[in-house]
Amino acid sequence: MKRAVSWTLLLILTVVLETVIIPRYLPVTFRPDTVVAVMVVVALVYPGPSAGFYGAAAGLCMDVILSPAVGALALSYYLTALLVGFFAGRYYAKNWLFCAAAAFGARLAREVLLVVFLLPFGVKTDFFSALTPMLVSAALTAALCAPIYAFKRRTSNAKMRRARYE
Amino acid sequence: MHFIRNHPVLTAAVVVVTLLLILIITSLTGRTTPVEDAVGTVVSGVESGASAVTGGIGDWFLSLIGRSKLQQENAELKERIAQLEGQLALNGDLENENKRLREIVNYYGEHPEYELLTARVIARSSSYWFDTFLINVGRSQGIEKDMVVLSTQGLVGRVVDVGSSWSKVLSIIDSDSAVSAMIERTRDVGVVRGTADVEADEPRCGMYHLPYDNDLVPGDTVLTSGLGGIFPKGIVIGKVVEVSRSSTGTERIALIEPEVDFSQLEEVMVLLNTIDEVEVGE
Repeated sequence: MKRAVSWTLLLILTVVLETVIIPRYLPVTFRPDTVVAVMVVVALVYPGPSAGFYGAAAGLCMDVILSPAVGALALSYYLTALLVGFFAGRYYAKNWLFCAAAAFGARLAREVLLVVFLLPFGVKTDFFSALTPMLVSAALTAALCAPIYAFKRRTSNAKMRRARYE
Repeated sequence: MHFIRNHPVLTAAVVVVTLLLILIITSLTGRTTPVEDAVGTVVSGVESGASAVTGGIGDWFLSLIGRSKLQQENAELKERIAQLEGQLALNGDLENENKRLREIVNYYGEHPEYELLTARVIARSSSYWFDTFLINVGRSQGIEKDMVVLSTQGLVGRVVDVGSSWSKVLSIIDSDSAVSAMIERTRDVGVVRGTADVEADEPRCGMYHLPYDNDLVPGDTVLTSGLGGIFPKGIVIGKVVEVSRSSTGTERIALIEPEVDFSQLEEVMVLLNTIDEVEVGE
């Protein structure tokens, strides 16, 4: 129950950040992707389907309220989470640098996947004109992801130590 | 949960197929499904609250900034000034809101032929590929698909999706939007579309299909032409900033700076009457 409530709160928080706060205060060229940042941390800290489900749910909420093709964002987030999970399973190093690199790659992968899913539905995209903002956004997402990961690892390590002690 | 953990590939396939089905069904039907409406109602409710709260937090930060500037002054004066600064920031915000609402009231007076409904912008897309936003009125307030959305400065866009208490608006700067327009001075007609250029500092639109021999100059005002059956004639879209030739050389293309400041959009008006009713009213 407690877990479900925390997942729901996390979902609401990131959707509100992505659709209300970030578009209001940050220009389009300087926007990190908070959903990707959280998703990467979740994928690295909790291996399994959680990151994908979280990404799909957040993407679907944003799709319903803002996207012209409902499901495109959800699919792109879900597949990105699967990719992160796949690479993490093979090359995972337990440090913030790997997490930042994973977030950087995931942010770019998410955009490429979104373009792929939007194109059949007639949404015009100019991928190369958006390359610079995308790289900036990926760097910001990586910068955001590293401290979240460090914090999350510290709290889960503390929890594990406490559990072992008890 | 055990099943999901034990069958990851099957789970992934089911999720992907479900999302693909949602994507295909919603784009084929083009209508809001009950599930979509319910999710939209919940999310728009949360966003409406969050939007109001973040406005309040903005005011609080303004008062904090005011406070930090006066830190070097003595404690009594600092506190007094900080209070006044806080109040001023709040007053400034209220004054701005008052000004915006007064402009809306004036707009109502200047256009008696328009039946307008004021709405608040509660969420915006942060994607590069589409420029849509959510407003806090929907089917229960009489909103329908393809209704025109305006601000006191000019044309904002049109409603593309309607839920019970929310509506999705496609702005004119979206690359998927097309508005039949004309140049006010020369009366040349063309089509205004959003540009997919993400790197531009300000959102711009392009006006296409203009006759090659027209004498378009930067600064010319662009209005809606009334053709196309959605946007009534004479609504301001923006100003021409640059004129160029098309790649085929047979027509001219004008780059337009929209009159509406999309980054500062907080209140909009939805035109409730149809284009025919507006023309009868005129």
